[in-house]
Amino acid sequence: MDIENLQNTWSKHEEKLQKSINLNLELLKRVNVKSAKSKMTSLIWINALTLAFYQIVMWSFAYYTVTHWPTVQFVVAGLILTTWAGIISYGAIKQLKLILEIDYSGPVTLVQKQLQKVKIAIVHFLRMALMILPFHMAFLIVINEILFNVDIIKLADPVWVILQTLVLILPTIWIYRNLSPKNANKKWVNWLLQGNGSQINEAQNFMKEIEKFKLG
Amino acid sequence: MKTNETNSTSADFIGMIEKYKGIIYKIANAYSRSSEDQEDLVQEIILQLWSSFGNYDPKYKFTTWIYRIALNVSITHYRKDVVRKKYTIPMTEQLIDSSATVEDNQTEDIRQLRGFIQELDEMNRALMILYLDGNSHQEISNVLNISVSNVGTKISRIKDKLKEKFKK
Repeated sequence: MDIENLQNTWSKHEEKLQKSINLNLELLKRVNVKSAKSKMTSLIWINALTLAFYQIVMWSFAYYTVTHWPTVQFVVAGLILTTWAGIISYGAIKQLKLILEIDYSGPVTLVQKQLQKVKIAIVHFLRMALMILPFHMAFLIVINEILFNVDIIKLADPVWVILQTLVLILPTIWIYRNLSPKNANKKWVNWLLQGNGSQINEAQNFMKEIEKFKLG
Repeated sequence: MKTNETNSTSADFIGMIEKYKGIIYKIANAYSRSSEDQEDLVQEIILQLWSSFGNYDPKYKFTTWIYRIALNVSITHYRKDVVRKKYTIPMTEQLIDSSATVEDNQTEDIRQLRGFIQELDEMNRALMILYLDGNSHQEISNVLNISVSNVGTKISRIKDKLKEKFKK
């Protein structure tokens, strides 16, 4: 092959392709391409629904907090749950923003990086959701009060209540630290990610490839 | 009134596809594994071009806009391992018909060049297509968002690799 004449060989390739592919322009005129489902639409919907759900949860807990003022245990539990739902809502907003910002007519390295970020974001979401673990007592307090009108703090041994929180602090810190995209291929992380581990790992590697490509 | 506008936009779009279909075919061909895959990819690119058609930024050349969309869609399509059929529009007729497989029509040189391009990773493949299409280094830099000097370095590296390969 004539290396110096590559562009000429390439243009012959184009001619051959033009001959072998027929674009049905008549059909293109008839099809309402606007109605085509975008790949991103389902992702937008998932995040919008997550956001809507956690917003309802957040405002419900906020209402609970206000209406149970000034009983300390109910107010503290309500505030913890409101904050938690708020953090998850914030994550969903960030994720939605990321998806909506993707513009396929943007520069290739930039758009590809954005797309990989969307894939990796599932790890960060999960991390935020797990932050509630040491505070699960807040759930117990609120649920028992709402469903059975029982103040669990009054009934339970205070030592037991404190232990419940302390016992889960270390495992939560450990999970939080280890739950990162670089560990996505580990069995337990992959299980938590509902089998998306390898995809996240690939996304992470592709991000590195793009960075390397940009640096030259 | 609105229908007239829609018809005119649609006609502009079809005119644009007709004019630049060569770019779309070459990129789809370089990022697909079979002629069926290529048909899906051409369709995906056209749909994305259509949905971005109203947002074209005239500060860039029209071809830059097409290259960016076609390459972004193709790289994403190529990296996807999940079945993508569910996202395409259901059509009783085919939008694209590749009557002959590409391989059947290829001369030895074209086959070799295509084979070499497909050996490159996704980003270098994009760069090579842009170079082979005769785009300037500045234009390539605009499409990929890398520096002009980086474009030059990468092209000469790829060409060296190609020379080495065909010396054997």
